[in-house]
Amino acid sequence: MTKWYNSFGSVDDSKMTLSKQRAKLIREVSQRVLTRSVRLSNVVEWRGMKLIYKKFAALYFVFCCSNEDNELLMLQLIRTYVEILNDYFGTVSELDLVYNFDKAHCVLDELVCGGKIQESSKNAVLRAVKAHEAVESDRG
Amino acid sequence: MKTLPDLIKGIRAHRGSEEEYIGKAIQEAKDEIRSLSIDEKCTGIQKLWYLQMLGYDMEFAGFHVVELISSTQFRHKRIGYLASSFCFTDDFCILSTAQFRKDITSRNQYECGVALSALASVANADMSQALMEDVLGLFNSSRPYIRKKAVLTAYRLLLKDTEAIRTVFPALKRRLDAETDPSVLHSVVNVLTELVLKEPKNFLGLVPSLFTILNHSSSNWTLIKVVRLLGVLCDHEPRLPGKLEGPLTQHLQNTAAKSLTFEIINVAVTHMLGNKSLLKICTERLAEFISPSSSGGKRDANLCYLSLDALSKIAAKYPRVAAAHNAALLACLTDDVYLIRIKALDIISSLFTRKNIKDIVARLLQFVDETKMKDETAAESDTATEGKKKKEKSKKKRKKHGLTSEEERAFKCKVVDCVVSNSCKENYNLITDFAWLIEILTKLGATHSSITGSTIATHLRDVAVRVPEVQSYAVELSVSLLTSSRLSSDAVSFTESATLFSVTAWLLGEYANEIDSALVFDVVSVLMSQCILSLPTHTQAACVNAALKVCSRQASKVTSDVLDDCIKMIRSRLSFFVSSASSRVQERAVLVDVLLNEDLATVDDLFAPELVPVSSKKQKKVKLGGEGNFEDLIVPIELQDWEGTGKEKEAADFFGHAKTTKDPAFADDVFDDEEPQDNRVKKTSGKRSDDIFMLDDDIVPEVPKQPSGGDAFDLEFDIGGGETKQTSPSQAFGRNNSKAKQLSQARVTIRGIEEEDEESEEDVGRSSHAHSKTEPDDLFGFGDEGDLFTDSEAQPKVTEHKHHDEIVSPIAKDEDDIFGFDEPADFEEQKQKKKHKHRKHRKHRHKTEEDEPVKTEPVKAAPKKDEFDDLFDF
Repeated sequence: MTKWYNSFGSVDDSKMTLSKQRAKLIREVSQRVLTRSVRLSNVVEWRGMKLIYKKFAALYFVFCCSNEDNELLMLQLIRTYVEILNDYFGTVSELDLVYNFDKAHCVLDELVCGGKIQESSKNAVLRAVKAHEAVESDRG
Repeated sequence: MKTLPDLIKGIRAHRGSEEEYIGKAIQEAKDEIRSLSIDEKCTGIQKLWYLQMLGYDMEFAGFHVVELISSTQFRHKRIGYLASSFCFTDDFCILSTAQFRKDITSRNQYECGVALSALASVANADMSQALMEDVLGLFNSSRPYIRKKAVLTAYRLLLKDTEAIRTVFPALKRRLDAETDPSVLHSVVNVLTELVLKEPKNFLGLVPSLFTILNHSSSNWTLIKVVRLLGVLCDHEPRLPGKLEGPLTQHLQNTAAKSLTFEIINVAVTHMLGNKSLLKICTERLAEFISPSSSGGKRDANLCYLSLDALSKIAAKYPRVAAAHNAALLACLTDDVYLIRIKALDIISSLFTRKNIKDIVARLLQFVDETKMKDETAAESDTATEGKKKKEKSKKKRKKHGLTSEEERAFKCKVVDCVVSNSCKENYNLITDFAWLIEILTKLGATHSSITGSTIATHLRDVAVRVPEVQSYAVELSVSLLTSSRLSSDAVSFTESATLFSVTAWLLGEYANEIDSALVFDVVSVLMSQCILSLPTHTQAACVNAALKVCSRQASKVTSDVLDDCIKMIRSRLSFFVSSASSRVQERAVLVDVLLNEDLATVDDLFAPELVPVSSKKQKKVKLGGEGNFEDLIVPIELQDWEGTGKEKEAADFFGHAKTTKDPAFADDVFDDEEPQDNRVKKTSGKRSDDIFMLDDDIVPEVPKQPSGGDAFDLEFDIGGGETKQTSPSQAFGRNNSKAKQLSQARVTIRGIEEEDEESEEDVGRSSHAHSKTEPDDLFGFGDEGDLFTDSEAQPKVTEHKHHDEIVSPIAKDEDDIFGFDEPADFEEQKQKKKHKHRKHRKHRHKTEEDEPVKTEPVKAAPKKDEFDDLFDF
């Protein structure tokens, strides 16, 4: 599950379609992150940007941010996101995310808008998402 | 397969044959989205969205997504908007602009919200222009939910349509002042932080509002952004750092949030380096992060690394502040993570001071020894056991230990490097106790010569020569170093160690009078031992040399028995050296052989003059004497056929000797040095190595030319008349008789400050003595001219005596003295320059870098012109 907020012009080939470019980037990132051992730090430098990741059971959450950003803040963000998911789905598991990826996207959209942290309060985000659902079910 | 869950289940079920299944699914989805029912479209889009996440292209669905968005049902809208970020291209943007506008201005805040979020991801330049107004209008919406999204979307639109900043910025400003809702405020600050980098001056007006936020906000997230923003502004407003100090200190001390702490520290380190008190508090917090946590658990690797990063920046500016936390830093050196160790080491290396250097070095050396021991024990346990289990256990042991063995080795190297370079930096500024330094150097040399052997060698020699008080101590330690088997065995395998070995040998030779009499025999036996033969030739030569010097110096001090033993031993081993393939070694060996026949006391006198540093500046002041055109080529161009065909080659080689020379001394092997291949032509073509002509560095492949004045003292032109007085004058030389004469004269007078060397005996009174008293013109000359150019080797005695006669008291006293003793920093460079020796074989002069440094000796008077006429009598 990925969400893109910026174009990565650096992926050379214009011959590659957008999705292929994305796929390539995803592969690179996965390679970098998955091979790291536990005792290493959660920050990786990649293409002039930082990858901040956190592992929850078998899931990796990776956020990519620019060099000047505060890494600890990102880690906190990841944590907040996972906690919200937890609250929303009730002890979230990997399957939940697979089957309900649109809802996960929805939550993410409430948390981060246009690449910026939109809302830091868990409760506010949850409220918003639940309101969305209410509207949906109302309107049918 | 109708619904999304079905699809997902299906894909997961078909683990192996996904391609096929997905292909079918795509087909189905395509049909669905083309259907008229909007629900079906929705499902289709969802499926395609999912497939897109797996890596399949979805761009063809863009049109249908637009259709979805236009639906009145929120569900469809939402899915449509969420999916739009995956498949929208410019065309679709145009199509949907109207729809976006409609939704943004809709009264339903969720519709609006979804549209805004999508807009943030999708917007291109046209859309931005078109919709910017609407978005700005939303800034004033009554709902904070909308406002915050509007602000962030406005930022994204701004990135695409940069002109709009003029309208956006004031709106943002207004928001900053008027906003009460914390999340909206947070968004505003966020956006401002991004924008400030572009035009900082405009933001200075915002500082007061920012300050209020800084002091009153309770949200860490906002605070972090505000701190960052203010940090950036600090660079543009000089009064700001001072004002910031108060609130920041307060926050630092009160907050429990590490993220905020780090942000403040980062800002302090990047933008407020002038603020010492703030930095002090920062270092305290950082030290907390570095040291093991109070609960006894391991350091958090993240925190540790970030703290070390910040600390290194602080240490660069305020070393003392950082030095207060030495203990924590040293503790970091044991960490499991290699990068952390390296970072800590870097910081420590900038914290050396005179007072703490001994302690720090002692602790660092502990690491080196410890890790060494651990490596050894690990290795031992590996080799001792054969069972697989045990091997695994020892591997596990290593893993627990933290670093891999390569990392350990690299770390060890770095530590050794750090110790050596930092102790000796800034011209030994940090050292008060040179004896201690010598001890450290020899200790490291004994065990780690393979890593930094040459650096240690340089420093060892440097200190020994320049600090006379420690010479005896240095000699004592060098004796033990030399006799230790470790160094000899290392020297065989590593060139660095060999360098150290040769310098140690030189040291012993030079200050041989300090050697303890009881050890003289041991020293000499090591210097001449069998294993020396496997060392590089320069080391061998140095050893042979040193052996002689030791003997001669100690001749008066030891008993005659011991002396006889020494001499016997030298002679017995000498045969190996005399037959060495290297001409340099051969030369020395033969020289030693002959000199040993002499009365050792007189040999000792050769080394009597004191070795002192001469600054290069002073050297340059020495004018070149003699006549001769230095620009002319030694070997005229027509003869330069280095790669040439047979004819010309035969006509004249480098010295203008025909190949048909009868003189056996010109046998080919004579030209061999390090490279046994007898590629004389190539070798003589100007390579700066131990080669025939000492040529300037910069004329490597070209014809050797005479150096300009300033280079004269590089002593590269060893060639004196003796060489040119070849037994078989070549036709080439014959052709240029007069020129050659000139050249030879010039060459002869170019003898710079040459080292005094025992071989000069042999070399027929080649006067390598620089008279201090002579006027500049006379500086380089030859005494004993008559002897210079004789062939025979039966002259030594004669020249020897003359030699003694001519020795004038060493420098230092004359006002005209050109060889000053100042600027010891130049000394090294000096020493490097001044290596050359006279050779027994007059044909070639070899430059040996590691040979003895120059002894500044009086120079003999310049030869008369007449003498040289003989040389070129072809």
